[in-house]
Amino acid sequence: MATTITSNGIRRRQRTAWSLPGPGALALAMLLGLGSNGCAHIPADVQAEFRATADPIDNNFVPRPAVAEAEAHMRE
Amino acid sequence: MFKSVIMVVAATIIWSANAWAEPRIDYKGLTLRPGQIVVADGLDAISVLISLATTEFRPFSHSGILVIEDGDPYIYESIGKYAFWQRETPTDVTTGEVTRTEFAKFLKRQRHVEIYEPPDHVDRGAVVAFARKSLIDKVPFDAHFGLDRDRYYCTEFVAYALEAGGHRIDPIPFRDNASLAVLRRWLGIREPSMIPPGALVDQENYVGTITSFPSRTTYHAFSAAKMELHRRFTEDQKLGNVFVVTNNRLDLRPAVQTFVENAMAAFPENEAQFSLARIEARIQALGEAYFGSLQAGRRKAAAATPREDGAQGETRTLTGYPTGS
Repeated sequence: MATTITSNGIRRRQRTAWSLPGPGALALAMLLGLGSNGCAHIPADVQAEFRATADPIDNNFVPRPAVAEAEAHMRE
Repeated sequence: MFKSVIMVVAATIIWSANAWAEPRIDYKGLTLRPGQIVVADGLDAISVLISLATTEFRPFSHSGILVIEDGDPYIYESIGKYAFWQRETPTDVTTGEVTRTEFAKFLKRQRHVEIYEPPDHVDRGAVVAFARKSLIDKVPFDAHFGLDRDRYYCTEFVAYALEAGGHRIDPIPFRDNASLAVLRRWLGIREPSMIPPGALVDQENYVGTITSFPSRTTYHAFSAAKMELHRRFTEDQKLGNVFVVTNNRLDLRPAVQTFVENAMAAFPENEAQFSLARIEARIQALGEAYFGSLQAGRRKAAAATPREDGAQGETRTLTGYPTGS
């Protein structure tokens, strides 16, 4: 059940959660060759681009040490 | 007699035009009209990947044209169909064409849908006629995201429909990122630019939202999180810093996904309580706190990303979202 929102506000609500993409997005995922297809061949140079930068200093998406420590603590 | 016939024919033509212009239906409180632009998004890594592709950030990941036929709403859209591939590139074996989808079925496929009127000067009849002709002609899906006129990807189809109605949409250049260039080269995407869905609509023409997010504000937070990832994805960044491929499935890296989830959790509901600018500022601050500030060299790269208003710098407003908000 989706939420319909008009100028009058929210009609219905549903908890949002990460999940498999819908067919549209899934089609696009597969279009990009990244769908769940065990036999698909992704060239080595493309696969290399999906490995993170070796030095975290050069990576803009590595959590700050304090954040990483806090998250590790929460997982314990 | 001849004059009377002419008058009757003329009246019939005028009536037909009015009859076309008038159909509108109420769908759960939303007024749906032919020629409206529908943009959609998913809560998935592909949505993030699409948003990283262009020099300027734009929200959403799919689009279509709304048409009302026999009192029921339909979405005309260009969608690709996956075909099995091994040694070829996936784009080479993808099929598909312009299709007509029942609105309810379209909604089931999407996590978040927003509806917009086209600009006032647009000839809706021409937009709808273009969509119907494309359906009849079975114009194939363009998996290579070219801007030729014999194949359409989703936003290209909508852009040409609007163009038929008198409104031109300009594509946005792909960003200068070596990692994205490798992916584009493999997929055979040679065009230097593309039309992102958010470039098709204007906030001033907003009609309504149907979403499975807790609220539109939460979607704005998701979109602002994508915009922060776009800001941080400078020219030296690799796709692997944001994404991970496991068993040929694309996902966000856990830290990136945590950031996006935290961004959405900061704006769980309360529609219209927060302005887009305020959401964007808070999400950017969240990014700085979570990932740290961009270093001097990267600040320079981020500042080089052009803003819609011509200025540069890091304190961007949520320009990626339709204007006027």
